[in-house]
Amino acid sequence: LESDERLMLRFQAGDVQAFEELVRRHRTPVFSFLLRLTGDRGRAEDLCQETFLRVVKAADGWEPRATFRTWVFALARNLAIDEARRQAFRRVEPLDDPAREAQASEAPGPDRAAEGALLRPKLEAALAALPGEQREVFLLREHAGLRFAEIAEVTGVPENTVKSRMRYALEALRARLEALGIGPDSAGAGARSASR
Amino acid sequence: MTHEELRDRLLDLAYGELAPREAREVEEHAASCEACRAELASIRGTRQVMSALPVEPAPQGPERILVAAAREAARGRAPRRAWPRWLWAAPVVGASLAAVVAVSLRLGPVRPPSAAREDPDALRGESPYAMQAPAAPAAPPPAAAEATPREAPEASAKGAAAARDEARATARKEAPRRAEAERRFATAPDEAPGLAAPSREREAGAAAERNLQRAAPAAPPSVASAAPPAATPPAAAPAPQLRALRPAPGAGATADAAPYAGAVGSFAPAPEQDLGEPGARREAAPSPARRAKAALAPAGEGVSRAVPPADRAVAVALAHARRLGFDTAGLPIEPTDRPLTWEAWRSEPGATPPAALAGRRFWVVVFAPGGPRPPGGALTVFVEDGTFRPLAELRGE
Repeated sequence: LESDERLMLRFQAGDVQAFEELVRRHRTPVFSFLLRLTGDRGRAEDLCQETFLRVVKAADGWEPRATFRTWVFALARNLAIDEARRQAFRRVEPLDDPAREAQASEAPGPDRAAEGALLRPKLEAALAALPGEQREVFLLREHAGLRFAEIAEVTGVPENTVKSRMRYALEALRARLEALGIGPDSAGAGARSASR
Repeated sequence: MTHEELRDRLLDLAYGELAPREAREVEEHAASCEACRAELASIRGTRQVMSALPVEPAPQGPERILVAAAREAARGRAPRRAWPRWLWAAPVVGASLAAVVAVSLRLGPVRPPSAAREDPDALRGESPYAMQAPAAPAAPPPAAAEATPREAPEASAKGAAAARDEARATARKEAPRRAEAERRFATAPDEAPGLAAPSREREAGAAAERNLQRAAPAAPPSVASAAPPAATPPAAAPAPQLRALRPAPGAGATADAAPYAGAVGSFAPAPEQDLGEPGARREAAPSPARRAKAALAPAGEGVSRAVPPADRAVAVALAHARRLGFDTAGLPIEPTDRPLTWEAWRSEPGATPPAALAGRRFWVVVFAPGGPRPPGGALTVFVEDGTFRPLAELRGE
């Protein structure tokens, strides 16, 4: 499998197919990250598209110093933060508005029954209830698959801070899920069917 | 490792970020330490539960837009890779030099250059250099040297005139040396004496020279390599030589203002495009849609080292805005897609750039409220390309 960085270099040289491959590889992780960071599907779609447009725009100056994945998530995350600031300015709900929790938990879906025992909305709610800085670390580690050192690079904080946030996030999730009566056993079925 | 050190590594262990040996050590400790075992079980248990949350598939539609944008960008980029800047410039300069050399060689024996004509030896055709370097391409003909005082400010006019005389005197016997000296000057402009221009102008001139040298790499040595090494570069050479290589469009309008006015003029967008920068050419007139897309920019914090220059400019501009006490929260950020020059930026309607920007390449970052106007209106920050330091700011529209 050709590395992301090699594909990016090919794209720099004018190979559009290399860019298409990069989009195919990273579109879903980036979108998923943005969706759960913002709690808004429409905004996540826009931001995801914007992220890859920025990849196109910045391709000329890109150098393979950091991994492509770290870079693209840094772009996505910064765009989301920028968007959140803009939203705050317009007096729209901020990133960590508790209302989003309800919205996330009530989001209906055709596969809702298949998820079993309403587990997924509860997990979404537990995740959405995390403070933004913990949620982004959790998502970058669990869903984007970045290592802690890479997350430190993306978020601009020391690696130890990243790990602390991760511990807080895991502890908060555990407490919340426990309060909802969800433990490792009750999640077994869902966990086996999960993609990660 | 101590208990605390081992405990600190539980998270790394749970996420598989430890080397095998270290992982084994932490596992063994966790097996024997109740607190660590409980913590590790908690981490793994929470991970297991949360892994039931699937990755959300991205919508398929926008991919077409992305690919179209990539195609557009690649169209502008591909030629540069296949046809590097120096290759682009070399044939043009090479052809010019060949033409000059051909004409010179043809005319040389018939009508030597004026400086050589004053030399009795040369008139008799006995000068050893008469054939070697007649009107060498790198050497400005006397006519060009005489044009210098007109274009130079009074402060440097005397120096230029003296240097011109010196250059003429030198030319009688040392035409090849002069060619070599000027070749050297072309590669070391800062060493040239007699430049009394203000530092800002000198910087602008130096930058212009760099641009010009970029357009004509290694061209002069092909001529000067036949000449013996020189000791003293003549002073009056630079400006005429620069113009000889690349006359700057619009130089006439500003020629009286500064010795490097013409050189500064070479920063204008069109010559830049001539220098083979497809990126600049591509971004010169972005469509409204592209401009809208360009409006978003990251905060600049925590971006990896491979951060694009536009983003660095935005980060610097944000920091500068904060220092000024300008509230950027929620404002759309409009960075330029490329570093601009004084002339390129001035060409935008209604803009009056500060003098600090003359001769520099800079990114323009506008904090432009599109909706409700905040107190203080918009803020525009100019960030120097390369050094990424703020040069100036402009408040209001």
